[in-house]
Amino acid sequence: MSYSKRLHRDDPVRTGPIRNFSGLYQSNYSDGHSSNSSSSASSKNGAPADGRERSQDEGIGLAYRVIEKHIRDGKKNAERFNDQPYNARPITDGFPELLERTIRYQNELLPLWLQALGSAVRIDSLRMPNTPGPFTRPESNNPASHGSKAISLEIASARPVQVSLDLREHSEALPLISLGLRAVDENKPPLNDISFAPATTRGAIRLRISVPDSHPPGTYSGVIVNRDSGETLGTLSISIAE
Amino acid sequence: MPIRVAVIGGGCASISAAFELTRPEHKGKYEVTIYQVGWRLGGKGASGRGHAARIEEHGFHVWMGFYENAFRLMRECYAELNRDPAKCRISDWRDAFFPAPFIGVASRSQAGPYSTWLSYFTSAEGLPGDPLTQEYPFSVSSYLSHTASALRTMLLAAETRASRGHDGAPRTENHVSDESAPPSRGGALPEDLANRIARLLKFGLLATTAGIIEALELLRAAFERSAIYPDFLLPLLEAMSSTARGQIETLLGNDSELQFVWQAIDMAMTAMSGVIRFGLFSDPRGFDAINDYDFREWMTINGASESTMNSPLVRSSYDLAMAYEGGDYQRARHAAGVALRGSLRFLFTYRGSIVWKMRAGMGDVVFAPFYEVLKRRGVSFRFFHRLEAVKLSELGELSGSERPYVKALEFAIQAEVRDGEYRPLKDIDGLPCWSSTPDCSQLVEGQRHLDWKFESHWDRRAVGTKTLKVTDDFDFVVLGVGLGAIPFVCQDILERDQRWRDMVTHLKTVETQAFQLWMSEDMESLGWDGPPISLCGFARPFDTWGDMRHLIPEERWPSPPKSIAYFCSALADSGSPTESNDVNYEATRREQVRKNAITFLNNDIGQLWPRAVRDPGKFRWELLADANGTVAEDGEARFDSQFWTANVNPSDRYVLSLPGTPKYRISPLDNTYDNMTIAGDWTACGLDTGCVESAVISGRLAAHAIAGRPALGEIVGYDHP
Repeated sequence: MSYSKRLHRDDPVRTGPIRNFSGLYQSNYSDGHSSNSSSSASSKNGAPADGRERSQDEGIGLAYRVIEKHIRDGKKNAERFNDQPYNARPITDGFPELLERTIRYQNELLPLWLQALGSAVRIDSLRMPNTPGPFTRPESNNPASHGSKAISLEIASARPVQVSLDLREHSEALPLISLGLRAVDENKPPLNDISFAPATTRGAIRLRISVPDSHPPGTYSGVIVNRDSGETLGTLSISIAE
Repeated sequence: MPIRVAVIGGGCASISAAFELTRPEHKGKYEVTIYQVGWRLGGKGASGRGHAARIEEHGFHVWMGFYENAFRLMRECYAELNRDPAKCRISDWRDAFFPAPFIGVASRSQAGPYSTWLSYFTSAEGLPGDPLTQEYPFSVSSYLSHTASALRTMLLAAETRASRGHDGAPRTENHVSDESAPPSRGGALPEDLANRIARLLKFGLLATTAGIIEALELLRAAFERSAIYPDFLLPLLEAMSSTARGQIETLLGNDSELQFVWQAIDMAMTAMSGVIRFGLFSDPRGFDAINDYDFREWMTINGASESTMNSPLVRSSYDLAMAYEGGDYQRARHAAGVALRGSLRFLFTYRGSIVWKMRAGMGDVVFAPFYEVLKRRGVSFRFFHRLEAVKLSELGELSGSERPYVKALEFAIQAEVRDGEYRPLKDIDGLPCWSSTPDCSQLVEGQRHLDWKFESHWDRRAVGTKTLKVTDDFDFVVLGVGLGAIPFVCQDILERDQRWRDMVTHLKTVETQAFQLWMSEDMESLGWDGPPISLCGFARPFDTWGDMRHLIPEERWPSPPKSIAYFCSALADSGSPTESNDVNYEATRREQVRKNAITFLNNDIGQLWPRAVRDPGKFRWELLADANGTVAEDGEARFDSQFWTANVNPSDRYVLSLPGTPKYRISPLDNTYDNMTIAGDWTACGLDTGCVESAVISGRLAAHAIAGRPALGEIVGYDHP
């Protein structure tokens, strides 16, 4: 707050809610793709699948297994009480257990299907163009936003976070460092565990951010500079949820 | 020197902003003055006490169990108020609010009469406003697990109550027991055992089959655009799905109970399919990405059956949001993203009870405590101040990069107060309450004001004017008037700012109507033997009914009524007045509501309360309790003893979320105007739908915009897909 004759408002950190909950609500988010699976999924030609395709394969496979189990169990229960293949004949006893089991399967399996599919599938909106909303939002760590860029993110955080990265064009090839991210509230400690590292494929660089569990929630911002020249090349902001 | 904040309006958003800005943690940094038209706070939530201390509301208000921000502030308010329970019957927030777990949906069957689907929602862990004990609950996995659990509830607790004949005898009674639900009410005819078993079987099959269908639907949604899935399987999957759906439709037949259950399941499953199909898991816009669709359109795209889209469940979701453009039931439109977000929050994130009712009027249990606490904190209240204009700085006055700012606030003074300060609350046996009429004895030349309609937009009478100037009188402004008032008070902004013009052009509002009945017979005697219910989807034009029997002991009738009922709905447009001084407009609309209510009582209420009508088309008017004994003994004229309202003032109009329009909302965080923020359920507040929680979130955002507090992360559910 500055005090001249007339008081002024500080610029807001943001003017809209964070909507991107794939990035917001996943901890240890890394580039939008699962990388810790032991699955040996591969692409159709036998070559190792890339992250996205492998993730899809795993998700689809899991969905299949879950659905098959659900159908199998449902039929088994129906047959058990009907003593014949699953159909619509009246049942004269054992109904409550059948109903309870059916519902339990729904309870247990339904979230699994959807979680599996949710992690596997990314379908663009059918109709709406991807135009910005009423607010100017920073780029999020949405995989769709970064999938084709030469920077990947690795975030180690037990809590939801949103990352906003604004980097000058063609800066990827330069030696980048962060001088630490600070909150407006000076009482909050800076976030210092941030590093840029050469990526292992395609020359991309990798930005790693580690958020200690005890770090206060809030928005932390700072600049990215050229380690050699000290020139400012961009800004980095991270919002840590409660 | 404290920073002076002028808060315009006294609704939920304004009060929340004032509450935040005057928290003790700020140590008096902000000096808040609230400017209020007329004599009472509350905005669309204002209420008053009339004859016999009866409660008179703007409509039927309940608080949803997901109103985390609203309950949090309310609880803090009561804690700070620290009323003595020995002296005040509503001394704690739990005295003020109580669980109302029964929700009903009415449906007209093919044969004509209405049926009601009664659902008992089991209590959820915790209480609204508690600190969040789990990880951020607004996640997909959380919603999905809650969805599954809710499906179970729907299956077990669903109950159809066929409407009764005029002899009061139940025609059918279906019941599925649930140990967690309260005991079934009496009066059910013994059911044929074989029929019951067959029905239960169908439930089981329904669940299983629905699960299979949904699995296929999800797969289809997932693989529709995936190159790694063989294309030839897609038609096969679709054929299987179609076959299975057909089997279910055959199973259902004319069984309305199973129809309800299937439609509920179909809705839930379809919504989840849509989330996947539209990639809402990862879209940075969250559910906003589908806001160009109407909710029903989007559900249909995602495979919901036609019967589900025409179901009372879907219709009820529109009723709750009054989502009828121009109040026209033929133009039901609700932005899909807003509807989906609201439904998920409503159904799956509530704590304690899904719905909470208030023990007294909303003014009494919400705004009176806030008024008292804010007074203690030093907030000044200026009643009888009608905002006339928000004046902006001239462009030539701005230096360099200076942003435009509010230079002055112009008010009409509706009345001068004798002692300088109006004391708005009156004591009802120990409970501070608002009055339905101003206390003119506190006003200079009070007799002169007896017929003034202080809250009417069209009564422009005033005794003077006042202009507040920036730096002289205020530093910051929280503009908390309703959206409908913006075109009248923000001409400067609208002339200059395309975004504000888009906002008032594209965001639509609707008038609403409500009436309340006090009756001399209890609900059972009238033919309703169900629990105290909140019901929507009923006969238009009054689709929503609240059983408010719990208010009887709160009022002060010489001979108390045996039942109280509230009804409300959108009010169809008749062409809004163009002249600000059209003093007859409000009376004309009130008369329309009166006629609507009388027609409704004669022709429709018998579907719910069969013994409230003497013959078809003849309501028993003698049932209506008369608080002051000044009306005819019988006949329709007796309705004049009841309370009804046409909420037609611009600021009272309910804000809609029509498809394609939420993007035109402006956030309280927006700083286009350097010293002004906005607050109200019409702003971009995250939920983006008209309700108490939206208003409270908006007020908290407005406080953040000025003071940097509360932190955005503390505003529960603001960050949400």
